[in-house]
Amino acid sequence: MVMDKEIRAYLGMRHNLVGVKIDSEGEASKDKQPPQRMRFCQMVYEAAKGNSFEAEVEDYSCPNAIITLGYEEPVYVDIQPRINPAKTKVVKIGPLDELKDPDIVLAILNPKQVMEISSLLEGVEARFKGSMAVCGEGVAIPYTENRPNVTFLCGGARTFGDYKDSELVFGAPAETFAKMAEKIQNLSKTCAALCGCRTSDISPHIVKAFEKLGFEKGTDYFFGQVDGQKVRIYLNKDFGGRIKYVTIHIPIKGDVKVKEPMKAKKRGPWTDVSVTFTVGETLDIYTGKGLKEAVLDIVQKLRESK
Amino acid sequence: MKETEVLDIRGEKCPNTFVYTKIKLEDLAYSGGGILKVIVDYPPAVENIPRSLKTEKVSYKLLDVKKVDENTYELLIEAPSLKE
Repeated sequence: MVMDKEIRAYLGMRHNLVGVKIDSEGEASKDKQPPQRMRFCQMVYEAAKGNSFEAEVEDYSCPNAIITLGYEEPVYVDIQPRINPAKTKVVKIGPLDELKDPDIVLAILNPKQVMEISSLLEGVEARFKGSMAVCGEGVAIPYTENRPNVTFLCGGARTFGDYKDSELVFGAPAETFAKMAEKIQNLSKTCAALCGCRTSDISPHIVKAFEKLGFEKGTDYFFGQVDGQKVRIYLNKDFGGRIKYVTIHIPIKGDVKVKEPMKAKKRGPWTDVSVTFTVGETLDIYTGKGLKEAVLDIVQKLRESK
Repeated sequence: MKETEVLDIRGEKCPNTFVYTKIKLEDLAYSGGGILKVIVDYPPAVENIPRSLKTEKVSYKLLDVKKVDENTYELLIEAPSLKE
């Protein structure tokens, strides 16, 4: 799944993202039931390492998860957080790229990675008390309140779950992770407009293609003139290290109004106009095919808009 | 009948609440059986001690669960004799 790859690469995660699906009907596949009773938090850590589980109520060694995940109602005292009413029959837990339509996604992170996520989401509220943590604070709260939460785990998870002291769990509805992946992609594009990857790392074939078009190599961009207009071209790699975006950047003196897909940003007396293309759609950076035409098209459109 | 033994584990959380309860119940069972009163102030323990007892090989019997005050609960559990 692209979402999993993109988020993990952005955060520099060592574990898989873990998908959790709460099913109120059906049975667990026999081949995916845990071989012996396990804690939910243990299954999550195992899923982060690549294993998948389908758990029914008798598969748990920790009774807290039975209540928080909504398999059974509490008998003597109400317990929160929990999935209420208790209708759960099976909980599926597995690496995100293997589990279809998860309700909740969990990420095992360090504090710096949580900081990165909270920046992306413009804030994350954390409610935790060191009790019923991965199951309650990591799954039941996001599931019932439809919002992300951060848990610092509980004694059970720390003792039996194999979690490191530096690790905590971020849980959120699957849609939140989809939004995060989208933001990461946009960030990558926006970044291309502001700074490029170092041109010293770029293949000589690409450099030659730009030189043939009359561009020179700067530190992190190519520069030249097209139809009398100064132009900078930035190349940006995706998180897998491939050059994915080309951003054409044209500084214009004064105010300019532009239409999508062009973007304009004021910088003192200047307006920075930029357009980002995905490599391969209309541009071939190895041959330069389509590049000059794209730049000319933008320059002309800017002239017309003046 | 032996005197009821008391295990006051207020301040403890899971998984310690069940671990301490289990150790005490085993002691009781191997010394002739008896009744244990467990005092807890962690509400999830009131739910998970009885559930965890059901998964034990030894047949412990939950006799009563009582709320003493806002946060304190007492669980009365009978341990059979395992003394040879």
